[in-house]
Amino acid sequence: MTFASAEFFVLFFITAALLLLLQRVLPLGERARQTGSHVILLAASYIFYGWWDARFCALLLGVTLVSFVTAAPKDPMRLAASRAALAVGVGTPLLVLGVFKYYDFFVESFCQAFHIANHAALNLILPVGISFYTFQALSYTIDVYQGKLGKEKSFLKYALYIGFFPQLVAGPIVKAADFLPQLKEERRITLKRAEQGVQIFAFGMFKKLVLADNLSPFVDAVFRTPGIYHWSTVLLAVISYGIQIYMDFSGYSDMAIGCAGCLGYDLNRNFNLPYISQNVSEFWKRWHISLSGWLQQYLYIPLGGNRKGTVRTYVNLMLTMLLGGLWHGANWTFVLWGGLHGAALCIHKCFLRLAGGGRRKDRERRDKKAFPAALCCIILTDLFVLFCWIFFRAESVSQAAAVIGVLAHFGDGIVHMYSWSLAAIVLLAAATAATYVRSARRKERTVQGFYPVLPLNRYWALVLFFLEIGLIVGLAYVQGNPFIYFQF
Amino acid sequence: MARKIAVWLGKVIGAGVTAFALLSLFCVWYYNPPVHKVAANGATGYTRQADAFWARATEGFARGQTDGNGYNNSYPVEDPGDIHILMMGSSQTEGLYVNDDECASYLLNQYFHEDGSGRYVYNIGMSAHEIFRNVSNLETALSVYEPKEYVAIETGVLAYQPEEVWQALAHDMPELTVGTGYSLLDLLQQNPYLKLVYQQYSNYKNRENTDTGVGKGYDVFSEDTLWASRQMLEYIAGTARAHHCEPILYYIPELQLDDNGALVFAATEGTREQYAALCRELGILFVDMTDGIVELYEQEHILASGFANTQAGYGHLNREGHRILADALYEAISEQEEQL
Repeated sequence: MTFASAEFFVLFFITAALLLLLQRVLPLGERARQTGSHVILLAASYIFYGWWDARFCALLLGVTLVSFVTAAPKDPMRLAASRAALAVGVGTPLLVLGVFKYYDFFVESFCQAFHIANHAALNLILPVGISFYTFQALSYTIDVYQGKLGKEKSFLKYALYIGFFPQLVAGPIVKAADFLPQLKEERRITLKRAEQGVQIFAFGMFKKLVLADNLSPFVDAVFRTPGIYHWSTVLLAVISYGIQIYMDFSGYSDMAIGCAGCLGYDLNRNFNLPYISQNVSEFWKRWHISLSGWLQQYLYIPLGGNRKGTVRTYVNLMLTMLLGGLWHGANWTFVLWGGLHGAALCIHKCFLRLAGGGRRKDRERRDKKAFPAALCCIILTDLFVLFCWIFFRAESVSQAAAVIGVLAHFGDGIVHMYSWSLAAIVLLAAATAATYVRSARRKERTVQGFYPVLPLNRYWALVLFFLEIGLIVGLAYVQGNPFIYFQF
Repeated sequence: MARKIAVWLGKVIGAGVTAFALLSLFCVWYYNPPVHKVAANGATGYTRQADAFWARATEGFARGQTDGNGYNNSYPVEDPGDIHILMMGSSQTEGLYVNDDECASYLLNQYFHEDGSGRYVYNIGMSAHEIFRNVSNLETALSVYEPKEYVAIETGVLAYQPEEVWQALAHDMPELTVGTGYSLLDLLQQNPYLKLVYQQYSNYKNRENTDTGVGKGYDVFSEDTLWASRQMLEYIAGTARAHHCEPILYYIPELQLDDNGALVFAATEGTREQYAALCRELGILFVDMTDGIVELYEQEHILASGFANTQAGYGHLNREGHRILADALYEAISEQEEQL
């Protein structure tokens, strides 16, 4: 089930009602209330996940069990045993991910490269969200091994950390250190939290159902046959995809944050106005924050980060981004997308080095650019990011090449100025401008996104909230369109 | 505490009503098709609210006003007098997806006014009125509107299935549901926002059913369909002539862009030729839009269907589509007149 389905709302309200009953009505001690809440949430999470395919639950449980059992702090006295446990704890989820997500891709690529008939394809269904919960399990195992986190004694709590339904299938990727402590204290549904959570959820729903989904038919059509469209239409489709994926994924993250908030839990923000980034490094601090943080902490830094010389820094960056690209999907287009971002990060790092960017003073001076210079940087960064999205969206490298070909040759064809795209651009620009104004008023050093949470005890706030709900119902694209990040 | 809750509930209800009013106001412009009403004269299965403003921005951006009979005829004529050409068809002919002055019937009136012939075209196109329903209503429609020269009937398929033909010829079409105007449901339908929500619900219910029929190979003549089609065309020709007018059939094909960007149609060229031959044999003027659509696309990269807010090439005829339909009908009628 997805957040935008009737089944989800039924499940959510039953879960919330049971939690309220447990927390507010039944005469139980704190510990019993806490355990009961965790049981209810875990059951809801497995129902939520099993709704796609009950077999997925077995896989989720298996990954959870293995990482729970094998997680152990590094023991200098029994180093070999510790390392073996770590290898099993890290290797098993990666093996599962590899088999389900990458096996067919690599076998097919190999067979194509050597012109061999492919008889070894497994054609397995890709379990929804497998990349997300695999990363969560890995972060726990590694943190415990490195002594950054104590081993969790309760399997119930750990299973809930991995399977917590608001973030199970498309993130944000939650680190154990951020979530497990929340399970150790009593979390209750409160009016204040519900007021905020419902509004954040509705905000995400608007982004997903009204903006992202209405853009999808246009983007899909143009990417299917780019050659028949005029270059301006193809350009609009590329821009539209940039907005679509942002609205789709950040909308999902907002819904996850809102939903978790209603139930009494906090999830970190996953997006922070990525399209106002002035360079690619900033983009990755604002886009899919939980993934970039994960890649930095568990891949880039263990590879040596920037501690092993200039060349190794660039190699590490490239490797991290290539693997980050591959994490999104088993296709060379994702590898290319990751590679392009990796190269851009290397160039930016190199530029900073040449411009003396290591010093804090220089950095601060550079950050305070005049508005026209800052705008130029934003536009250039966005153009690069949009160019990369072509590879991300294309189903094959040749399709991406076809899209780029039309743009490069100013190809003639059907002119289709899709009105939802124009509306989305205007809306995004207006929202960004509003954020700038708010940020300037609050004298923030960097522009920060915010949720428009209103006090729902005020008449006009309620009117605006109902208007938002009314517009979602009236304008949502109802032909059905899954969240883009479910496939990852 | 109880007082606080009561006050808050009062605010919720008040805010809900205000928001609903604002949404309804927005939908007056965004989605406000006139409600279907019983067509007392039987020329169509139903009609729409008479003299009602309408607007649609869900498929195209269009607005207009229905006439006194609830049809889309806004061409300004002081005294229309006789109707020379009666147009019957589905939502395509009705033209609710383009401004009322961009609809094919409006353009035809303009052309006939400009050429000095003074012919008056009356459009009784109505949504869900495919050719079978129009054939079933043909006799009544001709009696009511008495066109002096032509009756032009839209068709979206060429090879008619025998069962559908028998239903049409026996005037045994499935009933169209239309409100009496007094039930709660009818009253709710008056609100544009609720109309939009209902439309959303219908789209959601039919979300799997988006096939165009193109490439399915059903619009091909077999012995059965050829015989059934002949029966129907004979009926059309006979009925029209009994009412002293000539029949015209205009074909608006279902189309789709294939993966190479070429236009593909539900009916093959062979089917179209067979149908045209059948029409010629029975003295029916056949206007096929296929070539016009292809020409427009290949020469100017313009698609006759689809709008700025929908997928290009899919759905109803757009402004260009109506223009080429009007041009094709005008040309065909002019040629016919010249021959006579």
